[in-house]
Amino acid sequence: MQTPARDSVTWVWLLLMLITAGSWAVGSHVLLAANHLLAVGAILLFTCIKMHLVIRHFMEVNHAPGWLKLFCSGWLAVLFFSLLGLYR
Amino acid sequence: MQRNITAQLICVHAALAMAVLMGVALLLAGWVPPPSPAMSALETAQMYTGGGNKIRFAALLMMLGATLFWPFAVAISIQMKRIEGPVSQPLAGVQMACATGTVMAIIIPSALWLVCAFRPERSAEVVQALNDLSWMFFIGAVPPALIQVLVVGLCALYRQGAEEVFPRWYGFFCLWTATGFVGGETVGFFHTGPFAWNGIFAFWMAAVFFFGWILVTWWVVMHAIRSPAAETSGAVSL
Amino acid sequence: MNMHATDAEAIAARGTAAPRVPGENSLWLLILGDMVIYAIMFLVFAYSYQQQPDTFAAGQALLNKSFGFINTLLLLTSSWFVAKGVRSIRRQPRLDASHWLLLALVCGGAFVVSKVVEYSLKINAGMVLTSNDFFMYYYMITAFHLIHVLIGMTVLVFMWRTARQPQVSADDVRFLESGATFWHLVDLLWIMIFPLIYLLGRT
Repeated sequence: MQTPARDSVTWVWLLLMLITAGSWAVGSHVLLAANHLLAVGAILLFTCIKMHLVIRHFMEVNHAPGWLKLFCSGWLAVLFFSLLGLYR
Repeated sequence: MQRNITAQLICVHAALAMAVLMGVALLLAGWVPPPSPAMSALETAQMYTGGGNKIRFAALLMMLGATLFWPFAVAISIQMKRIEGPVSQPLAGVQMACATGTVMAIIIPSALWLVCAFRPERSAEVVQALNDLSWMFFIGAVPPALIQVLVVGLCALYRQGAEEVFPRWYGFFCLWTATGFVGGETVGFFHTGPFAWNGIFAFWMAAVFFFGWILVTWWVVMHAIRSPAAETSGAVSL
Repeated sequence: MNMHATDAEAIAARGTAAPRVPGENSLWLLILGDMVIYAIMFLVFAYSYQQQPDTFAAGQALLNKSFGFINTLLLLTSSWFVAKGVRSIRRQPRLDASHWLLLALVCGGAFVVSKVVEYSLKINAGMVLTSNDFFMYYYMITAFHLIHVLIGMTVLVFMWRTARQPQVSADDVRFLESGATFWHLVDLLWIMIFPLIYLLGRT
């Protein structure tokens, strides 16, 4: 019998929805006016967390070979740091 | 059964000649990247009077390069026919037809460049209009090349047994190339920026994908022509 | 050799923990390649923002964030539906899991409708592709993504048809996984597009 290795999708989905709804409730423009750098960092961080969850769990890269994990993580890192640098 | 390997190889190697001729032509004319759409009519006219013989020669090379795309397209269609089988080969036909569109999208601008450089005393506004027309074709006439590349990718991916002609990754490569072409579709909307005919997406990205696709396809088709499996998957006439 | 036994084994094997690439290896040339193209677009946009911060901030303020949030929720949910569907088929290939894919299609359709409404409102208010550089990027990036959504929905239709078959082969599962991966990519890209175009910047 194979492992139910991939049934975390529902939890992941709930987490994704929560993060999205949460950021809607908080309101980014308020944050951005308060402390610009912190707000940019927070928005980018939560965006990258969401993308990481989709990549690792929905796209099943968690169970993929190392090179694929590396490329995806690298892609996220390039976007996070470049955008942080541009918007700071 | 005659396989006409030599003739097929001549056709596929036309791809390399095409790439070289087109590249040399653009460099000779100083059009890497293309001249800005934001130039005034006077500046455009001066570009042609200043460029003179270089532009004329570049246009000739470009026209020859474009024409060599046709035998290359024939070589591609022959391999597609192996996949599609003896009854009907619609995708191969579509590829060939769209290749004509791609060729004309390069030959027409070449003729226009010859015209622009032909009479230096011509009014600047007329030169600008013809110049606009040339780049709208050269960069903006994306649909034939887009459909051409998509149809090759589709042929490589959706048929069982296509792997013995085109490797799976090549099919996905064609789809990725199609994505890279899309940036050139909106050249009619912008005079400046990344989506103008000299911009990052409309020119640079599309050019890299176009030449990349030619080289990769040359490689893949050449191997398909030479493979022993080609002996058993029957020849079909054009 | 008994095709059903081999197929069942192959399908079951895809549910185990051994490292393997979802769909097929070659698919990832397209997936990662697309990710690279979009990353370049994102960075070009962000750079352009810094060149014209006032124009971009003003344009951004005219956008309605609610559309963005709703679209994110729609795509996240559709991704979940697709993930549920594919896993169900892997675990029990004989069970008809095609309804999951239909639900995903409904979400996709809602996304498209939402986009059409959003574009129509903007266009009627005079904000068009050629208004300024901000709106150029707004339309170009979201429309490029919308094209991917439409392509993804076409793939979902084929996936739905495949899932409805009484017998699902190992090749079919491979196709379903590939299609699912493309749809997750569409979701993934929107997760970045939304804050980039609608939220980040000077207020």
